[in-house]
Amino acid sequence: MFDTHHRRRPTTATVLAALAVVLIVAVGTAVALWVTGDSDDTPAAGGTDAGFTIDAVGTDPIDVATVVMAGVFTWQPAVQDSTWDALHTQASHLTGPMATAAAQAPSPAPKPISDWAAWARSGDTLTAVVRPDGDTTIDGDTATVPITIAQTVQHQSGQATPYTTYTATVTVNDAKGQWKVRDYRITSSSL
Amino acid sequence: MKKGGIVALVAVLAAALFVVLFVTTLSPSGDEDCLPLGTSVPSAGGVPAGSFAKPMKTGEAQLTSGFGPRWGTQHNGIDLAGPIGTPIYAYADGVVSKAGEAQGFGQWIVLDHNIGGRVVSTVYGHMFPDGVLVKVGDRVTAGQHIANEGNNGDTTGAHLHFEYHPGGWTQGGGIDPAPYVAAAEPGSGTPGSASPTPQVPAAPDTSVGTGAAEMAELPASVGSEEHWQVDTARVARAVHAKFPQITNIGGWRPSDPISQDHPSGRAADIMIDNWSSEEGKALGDQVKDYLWANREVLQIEYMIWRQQYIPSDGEPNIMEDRGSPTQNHFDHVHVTTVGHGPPAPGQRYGAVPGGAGSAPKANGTCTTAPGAGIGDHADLAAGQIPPEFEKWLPLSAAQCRELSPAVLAAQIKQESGFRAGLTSPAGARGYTQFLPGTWSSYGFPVDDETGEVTGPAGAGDPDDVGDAVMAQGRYNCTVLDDLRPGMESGAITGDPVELMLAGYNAGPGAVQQFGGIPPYAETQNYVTTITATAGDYDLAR
Repeated sequence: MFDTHHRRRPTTATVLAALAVVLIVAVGTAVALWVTGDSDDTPAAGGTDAGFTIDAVGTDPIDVATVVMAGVFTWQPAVQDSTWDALHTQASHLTGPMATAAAQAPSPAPKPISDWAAWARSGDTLTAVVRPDGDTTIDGDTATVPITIAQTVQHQSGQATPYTTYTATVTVNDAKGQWKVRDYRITSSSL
Repeated sequence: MKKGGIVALVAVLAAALFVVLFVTTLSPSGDEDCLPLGTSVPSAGGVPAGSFAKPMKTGEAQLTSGFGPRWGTQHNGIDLAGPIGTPIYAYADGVVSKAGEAQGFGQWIVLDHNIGGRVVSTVYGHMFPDGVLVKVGDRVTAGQHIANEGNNGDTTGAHLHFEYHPGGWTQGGGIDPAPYVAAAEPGSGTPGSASPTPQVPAAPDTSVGTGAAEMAELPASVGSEEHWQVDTARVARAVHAKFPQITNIGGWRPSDPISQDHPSGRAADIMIDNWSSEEGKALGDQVKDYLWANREVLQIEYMIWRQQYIPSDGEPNIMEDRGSPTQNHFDHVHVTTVGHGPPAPGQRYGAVPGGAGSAPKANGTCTTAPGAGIGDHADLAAGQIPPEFEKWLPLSAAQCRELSPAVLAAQIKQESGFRAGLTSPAGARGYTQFLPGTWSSYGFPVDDETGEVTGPAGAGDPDDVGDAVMAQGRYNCTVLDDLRPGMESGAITGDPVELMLAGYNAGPGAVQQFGGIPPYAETQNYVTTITATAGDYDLAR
């Protein structure tokens, strides 16, 4: 026979503790679902963003430096004469020496990167993934943004080959309320 | 302990338990750190090889808005709506160039693809943070499940916003994706066209070329057999015979802190020109397959190519990421042989083996053994200067005070890799890759002993070591002379050697125009690479 005589009755404190546990778990779960959005699982057949003006990339110096330099180092040798073509596509985001360089193709042209002709023959493209690499310093209307530029060669077969990873510093100027890339300097290369 | 303390303790423990469960439930696992960069992660949702994939399955989404002007704004993509959490798939093989927060999109993903030799970017928007399943730099394959639909950012309801950008992503750019999403249904093919597919290894073919003569010795212009054991020399001779386009086979070095394969003469490195291009990769694949098919005749113990360790006996596997393309064996095929000792007098190597087949592919398993500790761990042949150049480097460097033998050596390595007979697509010739117009002004013939000019400008031979290296120094010094007034006045700033190299690459006029190293990728790459390589030569000399 069970001894119920000595079973302790729940105290007020025990009840409160149990309630506290239940409350914490319930609130926490609700917060988690709210954060992850999983609570809204209703079909939203009409969902659209048409009518909104979306500028996906921010306008701060880091965003500008990374996006512009990704464009400068993303290449299509089969359809571009040199890397200048990529620089030229970023002209509206450049100022100072970079804008000067992007405005007109250099003559004489710099010696090409040694693999350029083989990439062109193969129809390879190079994608640059650019990430901030340290603290950005801002001095007045000038920001210096350290970055890494990791290039991957994408082949038409769908295969890819890792290529150069550079470290570089990018100088960005506030030109009439808009940050633009003024200059950059590669400081190291993985090759 | 008092009751109040017990209550508090229970509450704290419960909160801690919740936090642990919350974090562990939501955190993605990360066990892909040593997949090679050129390998993609297979996943559900693949499409037939060579196909593009719809970004969402037809039965799981409906078009809610097309491309074009809407209510005073330009809608730069199409909207595909389904329930939150509906899978989103990669349109094509590619690289994740952007992933994370984006104004208006909540979270977005941008993929860069190579489609017909052109860059095309596709954009996927409005996911929640936990609905983004890839990260920047990842490789993806067509039809790979990359995200889950969300209702994040500027939107009236859950949907995927999909954009298509020929030439690469630009703010506000893109064209109507509608014609392009008439692609294969995700899940209609093998996941990932580029995913590793185990292959049945070809049976080793031990045949040799019928009636073929003894393999010829490796030409000095390709490599030296000195220090190699018999099996390694045989591999080098066979590769040279089958692939005469390969310009450099080497690998012996006196010491290696990790592996004795190279110092013992049991290993060769078969360098692949243009290794980063599709044609270079194809050549390396052919070499690897040829060696695999003849691994018994050639007594090969193992090979490494594109981060895959391929033993003659046993399963191939993917090696740990060692860093640079050289360390990961993307620019050379490493071959270790059984060895069988140094060649005997009159050693014979047999005829060129004729077997054919395909080496097995690694199954994607990340491993550090037995691949760890083998192969090449550092850049190859760093600081090694062919003997025929050694006399000329100090003679040429003496032409102006800023020059050094190390910088000249690094520049020759960059220009030609110390190889004779090269002509670039632009017509640049010889060891130092002079264009004909420049050679006609600086390419003097020189005395083989003293380096003194013996004939008129342009009469030298760009494939003669002395003529080429002396012209290289002469032109470098002329570039510096052109820049010197600007450097002295402060109009040009920077390290004199770096400015000289920039002028050599882009012309002194470009350095003068920009007051320093011009912002051209070719020039910045040239200066950085040569100054870094020169450090190797400084250490070696």
